[in-house]
Parts: sequence; structure tokens; C-alpha cells
Amino acid sequence: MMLNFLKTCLLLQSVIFGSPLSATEIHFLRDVAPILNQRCSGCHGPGRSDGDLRIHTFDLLMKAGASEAHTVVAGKPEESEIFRRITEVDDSIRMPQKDEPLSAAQAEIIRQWILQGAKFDGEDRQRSFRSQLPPAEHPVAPEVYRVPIPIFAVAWSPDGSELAVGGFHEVLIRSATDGRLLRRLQRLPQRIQAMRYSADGRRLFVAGGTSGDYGELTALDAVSGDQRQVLATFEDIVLGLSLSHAGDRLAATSADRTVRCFHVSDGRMLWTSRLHSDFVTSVAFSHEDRFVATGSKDFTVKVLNANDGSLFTTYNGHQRQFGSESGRFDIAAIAFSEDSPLAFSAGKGRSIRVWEPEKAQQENGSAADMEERFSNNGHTRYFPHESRRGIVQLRVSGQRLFACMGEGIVKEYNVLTQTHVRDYSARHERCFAMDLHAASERLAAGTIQGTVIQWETRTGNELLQFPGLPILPSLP
Amino acid sequence: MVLPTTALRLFLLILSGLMADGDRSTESRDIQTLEVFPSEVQLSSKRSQRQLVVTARAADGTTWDVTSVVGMTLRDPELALITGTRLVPQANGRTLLTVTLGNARVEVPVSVTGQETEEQVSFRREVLVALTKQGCNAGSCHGAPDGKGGFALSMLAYAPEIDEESIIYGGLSRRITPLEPEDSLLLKKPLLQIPHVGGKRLQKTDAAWEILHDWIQQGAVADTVSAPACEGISVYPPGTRVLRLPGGRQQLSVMANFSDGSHRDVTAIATYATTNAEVLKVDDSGFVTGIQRGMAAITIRYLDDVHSVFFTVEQDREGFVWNGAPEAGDIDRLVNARLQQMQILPAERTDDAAFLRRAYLDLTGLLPSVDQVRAFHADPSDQKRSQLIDRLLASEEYSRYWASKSADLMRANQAAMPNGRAELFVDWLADSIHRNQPFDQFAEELLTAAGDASSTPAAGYFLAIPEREALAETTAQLFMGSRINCARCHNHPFESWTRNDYYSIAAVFARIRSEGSILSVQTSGEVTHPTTNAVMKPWGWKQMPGESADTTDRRERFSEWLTSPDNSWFARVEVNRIWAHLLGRGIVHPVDDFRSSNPPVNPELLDWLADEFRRVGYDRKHMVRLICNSETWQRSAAASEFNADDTSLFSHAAVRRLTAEQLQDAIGQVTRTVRPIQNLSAEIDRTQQELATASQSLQTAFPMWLEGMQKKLSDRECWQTMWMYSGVYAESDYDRAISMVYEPEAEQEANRLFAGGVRWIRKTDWLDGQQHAFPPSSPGAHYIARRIHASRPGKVVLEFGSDDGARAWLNGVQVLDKPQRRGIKTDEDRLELDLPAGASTLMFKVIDAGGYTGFACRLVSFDGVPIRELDIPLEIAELLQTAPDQFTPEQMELLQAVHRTSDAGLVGLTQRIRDQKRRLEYQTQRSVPEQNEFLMAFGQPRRESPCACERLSDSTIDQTLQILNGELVWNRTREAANHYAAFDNTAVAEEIYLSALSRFPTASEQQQIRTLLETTPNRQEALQDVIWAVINLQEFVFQH
Repeated sequence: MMLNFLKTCLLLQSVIFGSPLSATEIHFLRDVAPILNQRCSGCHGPGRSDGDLRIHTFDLLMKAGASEAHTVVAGKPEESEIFRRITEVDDSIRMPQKDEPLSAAQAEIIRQWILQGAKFDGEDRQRSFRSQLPPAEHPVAPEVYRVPIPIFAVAWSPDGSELAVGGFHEVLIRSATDGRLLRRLQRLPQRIQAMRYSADGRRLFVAGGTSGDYGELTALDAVSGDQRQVLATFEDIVLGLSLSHAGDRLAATSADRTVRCFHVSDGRMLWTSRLHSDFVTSVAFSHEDRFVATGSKDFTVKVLNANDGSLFTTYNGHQRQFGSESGRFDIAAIAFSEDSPLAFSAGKGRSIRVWEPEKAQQENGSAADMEERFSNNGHTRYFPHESRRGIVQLRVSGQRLFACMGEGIVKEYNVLTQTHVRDYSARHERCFAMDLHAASERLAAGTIQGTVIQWETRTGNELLQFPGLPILPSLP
Repeated sequence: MVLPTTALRLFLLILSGLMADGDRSTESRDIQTLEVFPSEVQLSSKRSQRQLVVTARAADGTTWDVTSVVGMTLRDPELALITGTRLVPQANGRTLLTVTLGNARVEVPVSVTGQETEEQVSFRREVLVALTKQGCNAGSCHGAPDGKGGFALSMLAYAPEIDEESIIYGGLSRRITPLEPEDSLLLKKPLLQIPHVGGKRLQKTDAAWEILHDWIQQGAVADTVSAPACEGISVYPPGTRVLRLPGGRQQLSVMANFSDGSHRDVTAIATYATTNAEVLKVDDSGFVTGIQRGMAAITIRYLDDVHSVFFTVEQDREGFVWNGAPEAGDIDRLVNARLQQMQILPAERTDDAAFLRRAYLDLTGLLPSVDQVRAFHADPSDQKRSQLIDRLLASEEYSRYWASKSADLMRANQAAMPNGRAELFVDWLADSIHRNQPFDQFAEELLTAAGDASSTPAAGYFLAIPEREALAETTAQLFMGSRINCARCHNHPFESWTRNDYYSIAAVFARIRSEGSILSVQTSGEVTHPTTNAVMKPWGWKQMPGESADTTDRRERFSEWLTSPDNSWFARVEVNRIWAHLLGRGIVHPVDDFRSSNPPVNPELLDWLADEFRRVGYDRKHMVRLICNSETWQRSAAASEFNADDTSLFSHAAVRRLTAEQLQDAIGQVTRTVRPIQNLSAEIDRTQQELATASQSLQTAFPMWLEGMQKKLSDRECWQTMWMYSGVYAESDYDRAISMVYEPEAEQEANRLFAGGVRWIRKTDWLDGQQHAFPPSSPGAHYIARRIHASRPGKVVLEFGSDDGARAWLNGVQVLDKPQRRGIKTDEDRLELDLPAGASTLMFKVIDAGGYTGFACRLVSFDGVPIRELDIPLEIAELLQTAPDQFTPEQMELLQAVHRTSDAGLVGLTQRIRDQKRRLEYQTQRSVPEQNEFLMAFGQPRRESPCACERLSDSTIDQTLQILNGELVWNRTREAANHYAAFDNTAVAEEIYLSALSRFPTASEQQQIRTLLETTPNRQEALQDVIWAVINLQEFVFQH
């Protein structure tokens, strides 16, 4: 984004100073597509097709709309409808309608691109530009934050010495013992929604993006912040991230409804799945890494084969009309037991579902009475909670299940006895982020006011509380 | 004189300079003074601003808005910005604002304070208001019940806590990015910077953009709980405004008043809408522009408060000269004043024929008979019109026809009021109109009715509407002229009706219970608000402080409020209905949609009528008489150049299609296929005489009948009375329902089971041995009790079953204890009871766990002998126990009534009178009109809605076909030919015309008909053709 902005300034300068623009080569994805995305695809895109025109993929851009005028005629801007309409003086004809016109610099970029032959430099003419955009350049984070923002992700380093805290365009690495700021890993996506350390603690995987606009999964050196590799960009923010138990694969889920799986070793993408019909909020690898299960706002959990992303089964337990469990509930968190095939899924609604993928498939998970049969056979168990805001994170360790409620209370359950063990309270501050360090029996949560709280899970005692983000103290 | 320098202002000036002469708003020569509102501007915080409204006043006192064309300069321009015509503070200090136009000039002191402190954007008072203004939370967008695209807001921000959750925290706080506000979805989506199905909803120049942006930048926090609430808005200029075209316009200024006593100018963020876009338009900043002659309101919304400003747009009509139309009284004076203002000429007085037909149709629903038409035309008196109005008002037909208008709205149909209750209900309505019961008494009688609808017909109103929410809606629509339905689920979109109001009205009806034909009033029962769960105070309590809610029937207090002089709705709504019935259109239209955004077209007229209605003690006939005697009502339907475009100000009579019922009756009258109505009263008299004779002879036979009945009863060894039923005692759970001792048990212990406080309901239809269901409810207890009579001591055997468990007592001694839950099995319990001689009392308590509940009981035998059913009503049997000389007069009367109903002849005569009174042949007169193809085609309502709109008045192809060659028209015209065959070729035309059109045929019409009859071989067919042709005349189908 920043690059585009700079580019635009440069171009504008060249227009002003009259130097020939043709000297600069226009790249479609880098220079043109962002303009189309921001100014045109609202009405002529995936959601709407005013005037029978959609221009969010290259093939569509090359087709005419209802007016039958060619949108783009390579080499001839004056004959191209798009250029004619963005430079029109009559407000009733000029695009975008009822909106500010494109800047002179933007119009010039489009003119030059057409003049230079209207070439496409992406991979796929049928996929949206948005999905093929080069990784965005991210700015440096503000030195201090003017106002509190929520912590969307926290992650323990494998040795338990450090805690990574998601900030604004950055990850803050803090000492786990006293909360001291150790490093700021900068120029990262705007929101950090999920983080995972590699098993050796040397790499950090960071997922996030900009709501409604952009998503990114990046790997970087956990100490220096260097050796960056953008594993993939997404059309909307990345929400879920999970590392396989073997540590060799990584799965990420996005608000753009996709689930993607990567090799940790070289960052290569293994497979993509597009089965969900709404935000995919959460992901987890199963016991022995056989499955990847994904929870979504579409009320389903998809159980995918970890090898190729094919669908194994769909768990519909969050949208069944069954006794006190009736309703349709968003799913925001999912986790697997480390040593049994048990899956835990939760979100809105008043209980965490505990179930097994194999049984879900055997019982024909699509049948309307599935949930009732499951319950009768003991195949689904319900851990009740009273959260009105829903469960936002789940973590499992042995027989211990930790569920972070939106209200800012982490509830611990015993999986074996199905009993509630204790609550860890974030003192009335809402929470979106939570992580567990099983070996040292420590739990950390980040609040929406930017505070980090640590507890000892052996005793339930609060260990530590510190500001996770560099927020300007509010004036008294 | 320095003119404003902005290009826009110059443009406006140039533009207005080009306008026709007479655009006074830019002419400065006749301006005497400029007046600025407010007269002193105080900007006391960072986010405050102030809209200015500048009014020019001419020497002759006329005023007009010049806000948009004046020059404004600040002596110290550092202190504030002039944004459009608003002042926005910049720095603390005091200065003067100079406002100039032509040679006129005025100075306004300005003080700016509080600029050193940051001010938080308020979530509730600014952000939500901005979202409402941009349409985000409209019912068709994110305000829909499930929102749109995963983003749900409360409709028009009625529930800020819902909005807080979804805007600030929804989707993991996805929608706001405080550290980079412009990257927030909340802005990018409506700006259409990323795809948004709702399209472009926001411009960066909108006031809303700045509010949303600044709020996010400040951290996007919700208001603290203590933030003051808005208590209302005040709009300047207040009251009604007149805009004169060309150039008429008005800047509004809107102040919100808060509970902490503070005020804030919300002109820029309030939402504006016009009620008639052809007359008036308004922009986002509250700037109103007149478009063409007419009336409209601008509706202003800020949070839950809705306020309307009425505008009259005047425009000169070329060649208009007021004709000095005659005025019979205040009605004409007020109607004419409005017409003169709008430059509309009233039509002439209509001729006698049109008047006569109009009077009969409007007042009785029927056409005048030929004799009546002849008599009226022949009457030389100049009082004949008012005399006719008086005669018609006194007629039975008037009462029945006007009763049917109310009946249409009160669900008087066979399904909602079965078993003859609809007929009784309408008879009651007609009786009330006939004896001219004051309307407030009528409303009170209706709204507090209780008991058995077969003896208290008014109770049928409540029985027909079983749900208290629907009762609230219907009652509000009928008596408050308000459609409150919207407020059931969300605050009303155009009006200040809130959900609190809605459920308060519903709470009035929380304690009535209907069971079969009986309406009873309970001492408990509440309505709770569906989201807050607060127990609602019934409507009328807040409005009329006084004793607590629970001591009386809540409806009494409500009626008291409704009919009190302080309630402006009551009189206005009813006079407006009367007016609409007579003039074809209400002063407020539709008649049941009173709201500030639907102004009366002539407020002075409506006020006068309402005052008059109150002054005469709500005398309905008086109002009808007044209106019918006005020149306004008696105007011709002929339109002229100067009134043809008027459809709402009553300049000329509205041509109206006859209603379905009127048309069928009119066809019946013209074709002589229904009896003339005069003959009916003679018939009623005859039947009444027969009845009197028959009653007389029956009277003499009464003692013998009584003796026979008593003998019959004393021959029985054992018999029982009908069941009495207590209704449900609702309880939170089953176990409590078992253990609680309710009234019937307590009264039994006190030995006064049938004389105590229990409101027993007689169940005449609960027969022995059959299964009977109680009304379903949540858990609770039901009691049933009866008496068993034995001529000597003996053993009686009973079979009993219930759902769920039951207990029983005989004469206060428990004889059954099975409180466990169970389903019904009619003979599950077999009770053998020792009865003493005389009357014993048997009572059951049936305990219900929820869902279906009921019982079955059968008296099997007495001392081993099977028991036969009694063929006299059990309550009479009970009564017959008394010796003949011990009867009270009431009991005697009851027995005589039973005696009379046992005589088939007498019953037949009584029924015949009732039917004749109901004029069964006349659809306009019947209690419940027929439902046939013809009536349905012409828009007959099914009587299922309190909305007057249920009757359709538009024209359809089906109607044309019905009149052209429908079965009804065909059959009746054929029969009619027989009747008219008796007249010669000249007289027949006159007869048909007088009958159908209330006038004599013209010479040429006369001639045409004679020629047709003379030249057609089959006279019968020719006659049928003539009648058919007349029925198909527009003049026949329409009323003028």
C-alpha cells in the first residue's frame, strides 16, 4: 500500500513537471489493480454488478458491460470505456458515480497502462486481483499508541521464557518473567490475529491483515525479526493459525473463507480448501496430525484430511435443534486432545462441544437428528458455560481444557470427569487472546485494553500483570 | 455591503436574480428588519456548533427565511468558522457576528468557551445518530432482525446496547481501527472503498463521516453509564410555517434537550424526511425548499424523538379571484379560509336530486324510494334539506348503517363472534347509535365490558381478539387513531411510539380472560417488556396519577384516561372518522393514522370539530347534523378550473363509488327485488302484536308448567347440577400447584364455596361422561365443583379421570388424593361416596404440569341403579328445589323465561322480530352482511382488521364484469321487468329514474326510452335492457 502511495506521488510529480510518463512501466497488479479494487469493485465486483459489469478479475475487465462498449481497448485509452468514464466531466456519466472522481494521477496510471498495451502480469486471469496482489509493504508501528487497542494474539515461546504479544503492525516480544519489553518486530500486518513459534523457537509465524481488505501469513526470525518470508496473502484478514504436532505443517484460516496448509520447512503451500461459506475463525490439527479441523461463522466445523485438504466430514453440532442446545451458533475456537481423537469446538451458545471426527462421519453427520443420537450415545458431550459473549480461544493439555470467554474469564474443565475446575479472571476486561505454556503450567491472556495477565494453572493464582502494548497512559 | 465570497453563495445569488419577479427572499428593498435565531450564540465546548436561522421581516409584518442568502462575517474570524450557515468554534473569546442582506444588518454576540478541553464523541448521542442519518440501521439494511452481511444493528438505534456490542466488539472488533481510523470497516464499507452490498452510503463531506472518524480516532469507546439521556428535541421555527413560491424556503434548527439540563444543536446530524416530495423537499442540513402549492410536513428524528413541522406552500394561481362562497357556519368558514389560502374555489351548492341521493346514501346506506323522491322534489319549503337530515338521523336505518361501519372494524364476523354473538354485538352497536349514547359512554361501556357475551354483547369485542397485544393494537387504532403495530418489535420508524408505550397499552388488557362466551377479569396478570423483562405499568397510570394499578379493573382506568378532556386523541379521532364517512376523506387521512408526520390538512377545522364534539358531550348525531347542514357537505361534485386538482381540501364533493353493500341494496331497490323498507316497519308491528297475544296466553299456563316441572324433579332419587369452573391458578411449577391452597379450597373450608370470593364460571356444555379440556397454560391448578342431590341417604358411584393429577372433596371431606402426574383416562378413578339426603357438594382440584389439561367425570349409579340424564337445565333444576311462594321476582322471571323458550311458537315469533329488525334483505342494514361474489368484488371487508383500509374502494375489472353481466344483475333485472311492466312507456322512464337516480329523466332520456320500448317487439326484454342500462350508468354506480 505504502509503495503504491509513493509511486502515485512520483507519478504525480512527473505529470506536474511534464516529464514523459512512458518512461515508467506500469505494472497492472502493483499499480492498476489497487485503484480498481478501491474505487470500482464496490459496484462492479464480486458483490454487485451494476450495468452488468464486473471488473474484479482480468478476464471480466476485458469484457464489455451492458453498454457493450469495450471497457479496455489495448493501446487506445480514448476508445476505452473505463478511461472515458473516469475522465468524463458530466457528473451523471462520470465514474465512480456519486463519489469523488479519481485523482489525475490515478487516471494517468490507467491511461498509461492502456497505452502500454493493457498487459496482465498476474498468475490467473480468472481469479480476483485481490487474491493475487503482491504482499503489502507495512509501515513502522507508532512509537506509542494514542489509545488502547485490543490484543488479538499472544504466544508463548517454546521454552517459556518469552511471550509474543500482537500489536499494531508489530509483534512485541516480552519477558515472560516480568513483562519487560525485549524486542519489537516491526513492519508486520496491521492486526496480528494469530501467532505460533516453530518447535525450536527460532521462527515465528505471524498471521493477520486488514479487516475486509487484506490478509497475510508471514514467517520471520523470532529473535532478529529478519529472514522474512510471506507464505501467502489472502483477500481478507487471517484469523486462525495452527502448527501440526510434528511441527512440519502449518494451517491458516481467513475471513476470505479459505483454509490453506503449508510446509514449515520451505513455506510451500500444500493445499487450499474453500468449503466454508463464511469467515473461517479457527483451526487445529488433530491427534497424530491426521486431520485439520476448521471452525467457521457458518455454524459448521469441517474436518479435512491433513494430507490433501479433502473433506473428511462436517460436524453440524453447532446448528441443531436439540433440547437446551438448540440454536445456530458461530464457531470461534477449536482444539484437539494431544493423546486422543477428541475434538473441542465452541463459540456462541452455552456449551463447548466435545466430539470425535471418526464418529461424526460414521453417524452421518448431515442427518437432522445427529446431535440427538450423539448425545444419547455419549458421542457428543457438553461442557456448559454461561458466557454471553462466547468462547474465543480453546487450549488443551492432557486432561485439562482451557476456554477463554469473551467476558475475560478463562474456564478450566477436566476432560475426563467433565467437571469445571476453576476460573481465571481478567478482572472484568474483555479478552480475545489466550495461550497456554503446558510445561511450566502457565496461562496468559491479552485483554482488549492491551493488558497481559498470567496465571499459574497448578494453583490458579495470578502471577503477573503488565501492559502488553506501548499505550500512552491516559491523562488523569 | 460585503457579500459572501464563496462561489456557492454567488451562484445562489445569480440564480435567484434570474428568478421571476416577486421572489421576495432575495429582494432587499422591502426588508425592514433581519431577525437572527439564536439572538446570542454560545459555543461552550469543542464539539458544539450552532445553526443560524435568519428571518426577514417586511414593513407589512410578513416574514420569510433568508438564511441561505445573507452575508455573515465574524469580527474576529479566529474564534469560529462559518460552515455553511453554522458556526463552529475554534478558540475561546467573545466577538460579534454581522449578518447583512441589502441594506439590512444585524449583529449577534458570539461567545466561545471550553476550547481548551478535548470532548469525547458520544456513542449514543452522535455515533448512533449518524448511523441513523446515513440509513445504516434502517429496517431493510443492518436494522433488519438478523442484520445484513453478519452486521446487525438495532432498528433506528432503539437498543444502543445491541449496537455497542456489534459495532465495538463484533467480529473480534473487526469494524474499528482506532490507530488508523480511515482503515476502519465502519468507514471503508459505506464509502465503498471496499465492496459493500448496500452501496455508497457516506461521503467524506457528510457530517456523519467526521463523527464516525473522530469517535474511532478517540478510541471507539461506549458512553459511560451516567451519560445524560435525551428528553426531547425542540425545533425552530416552531409551529406551522407558510412558504410562498417562488423561492419559498426555510432553514430549520434542531436542539436536543438532555436530562442533565444541557442542550445541544443537532441540526447537522438529525434525520429529515418530507411527507410529500412533490410539495416540499429537505436536505441533510435541515434546509427546506417549497416545490409547488400544497401542504406537507418535515419529519425530524433525533434518537427516539420524532418531531414534525407543518408547511403550507402558497403559490399564486393566475386569474384567481375568491368567489365569496356562502358560509352556513364555522365549518364552512374554516374550510373556506383554507381554500382561499390555497387559491382554490369552492363549488356551487348541489341540486336537490344530488343532495337527496347523497343524504340517503351517506346516512342510511340506501336509496330513497320513488315516493320519497317525489315528495322531496315537490316540497316547496326552504327548510326541506335540514328537515330531511333530521328525519334520516332519527331512522332505524341510520343506526344500523352506521353501526355496520363500527362493526367492520371490530371483527364482528361469524368466526370471531360465533353462535350469534356477532349479531348481538352489532344490535348493541346499533342500539347505542339509535339512542344517541354519548360517545365517551359508549367507549367506556365497550372497553370495560365483562361477563357473558350472550347477555352483555359488548364483551364480544374482547372475545373476538384473544391476544392482549392485538387488543392493544386494535384499541389504539380505533380510539387513538394510531397504528402502534411497529412498536411491538422496535420503536416506530416515523413516530415517537416506543416499545414501552406498546407494552404499557398491552398491560391494560393483561388481566382479562376469555372462556367460550364469557369474559372475566382477574386480579393478577402482568405484561413484561420482551427485552428488558420489566413489568409494564399499564397505560393510563402514568398519564393519570392516582391509586395503584391492582385495585380495580385496569381497563376502567384506561377508559377514564381515554375519555378525559386532557386526551386530545379521543374527540379528534372520532370527529375525523365521522367527517371521513360523510366527505369521503378524513381531515387526517387515513383516519387511523394520526401522527405528527401525517398532519391534518386543515388543523383549525379539526380542532374546531373536536372542541364542538366535547362541548356537546360527545353527541355523535349532533356532529353528523352539523356537517350535513354545512355548505361544504352540500357542494356539487362538478369541478372547475380552480378546484379540479383539489382532492383533500373539500372544495367540491368527492365522487365516490357506492360501497359493495350500498350497491347491492341499490340494485335490489331499483329492480324491486327487495322489499321496500317502509313496509318492513309495518310487518314488525304486526309480528309484535302476535307475540303479545301469544305471551298473554302462555302467561296463564305458567303455574301449571311450574308445578309439572317440580313434580318431575321430585320423582328423581338422585341428580346433579352443572359444573362450576374456577379458571386456572397459575403457578411456577407443578409441586407448588399441588401444595398451594387456592381460593376454592379456602372457601370450602369456610363453608361458603358458592357464596365466597371465587369467580365461578358456569359450564353449561360440560356434559356428564365426556372429556373436557381446560384452557392450556403454564403449570397451575383448576377447580371444578357441582352439587349432587339425593332424595335419601345412599351410595353413589362416580368415574373420574384427569390430566394431570387430582384431589377431590365431598362436603369438605377429602375423598381422592392422586396428585401424581398422569394422562387422561376417563374411568381411572372409581369413587364410591356415601351421600346424605339433600344437596351435597363435590369439588375436584385438577393439577396441571403444562400442556394439555382436562378431565372427565360420570355419575354411574345411585344405590346400584343407573342414573338417567336430566332434560331440564341443571341451574333451573337447582332453582326448582325452592317452594313456589319462595321465589324472588328475579328467579320468577328466570323461570318464566325458561317457560317461554320452551314454547316453540313464541321462540319463532321473537326470532322473526329480531330478523326483521336486522333487515336481512338489506346488506347495509344487516348485522353481518352476506358474503357473496358480488359483494367481495366490490371490496366488502371481511371484518378481520381494525383498519378502515380493509374496505377496498378502488375499481377493478371484476366489478365491471359483475355490473355488466354478473349473475346478480342479470337475475334481478329480469325480475324487475315484471314489476315495471305495469307502467306505460312514459311513466316507466320516470319510475326507473326516480328510483335509481333520485331525479326525473330529461326530455331526451324520456324520448329515447319510449322509442326503444315502442320499437322492440318483446317489451319485457326491452324493459330489462332499460333497467340494465340505468344500472350501468356511472351516475348510478357513483354517488355525487
